Amino acid sequence: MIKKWTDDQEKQIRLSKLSFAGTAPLADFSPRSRQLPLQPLMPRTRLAKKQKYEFEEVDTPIGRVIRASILLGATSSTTETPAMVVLKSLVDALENLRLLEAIYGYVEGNTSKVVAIADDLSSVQRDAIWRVNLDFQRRYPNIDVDIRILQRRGRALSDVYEDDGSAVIAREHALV
Amino acid sequence: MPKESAHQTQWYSNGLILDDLVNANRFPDWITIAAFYKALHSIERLLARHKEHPKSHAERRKILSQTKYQTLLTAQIVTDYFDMYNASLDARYECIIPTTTDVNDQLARLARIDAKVASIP
Repeated sequence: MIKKWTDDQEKQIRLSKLSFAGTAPLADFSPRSRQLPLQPLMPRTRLAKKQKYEFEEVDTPIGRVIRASILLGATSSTTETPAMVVLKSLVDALENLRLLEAIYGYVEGNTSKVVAIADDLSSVQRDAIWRVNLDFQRRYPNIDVDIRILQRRGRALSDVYEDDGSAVIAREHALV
Repeated sequence: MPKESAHQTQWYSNGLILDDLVNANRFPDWITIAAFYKALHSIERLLARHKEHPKSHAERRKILSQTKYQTLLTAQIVTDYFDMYNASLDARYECIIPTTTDVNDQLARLARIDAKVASIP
């Protein structure tokens, strides 16, 4: 049966265009057992080359934030604040864990915030993410580095996290 | 700002509520939340001893991320605290009912935090 995506998921698919980069094999983590069948968020695609970010400042209900979007092959011409530099590096580090289905991030002033989404993570897997948070916060004490983990537990992405105007860095996790 | 002794009292009080909830075997979301707040005051006892008085969760996160506290507490204890906070947010705002595994994870993390803080002179 072909799954119909919600409008938000369609938008995110168009925004991300391709799956995230990386050629390393998936980490050998076994997901915890679930009561609900696994529902892939987005179609499977082949791994792509490293993607470049394009940032723009937008006014949102939460204030002036930096919206990040993915442009394959593009280079950013926007002046990057320290928090934006940290955010991109943080997203890269989280992607390297190969645990997440989607990553949403935004910069607001000196805050670099990431919402990391997966269907279900074990405590060991979550610890791997928290250690990234620890590492980045220690390395960048002048930036507020914050990771929030949201687990879908079988729910649709639109039920877990709505784009309320915050900046989005959407990734597709290439499932093998 | 509360002294170490005040945090100790709050830690103990939160523990009583947590024990009642666990014994009743009901409201896993509130067990998760109560466990987090017990852990918070365990950490705050230690921070107060070092003249640190964070005014927000973000400030506490920054303080705990410092090398000094990762060494004193160990990185595992700090990640335990981060995970407990995240779980409490799920229970409070995401309407996620913790599973038995989630609750056991939360209580195990609390036990590690309490044991570690108690062992630090």
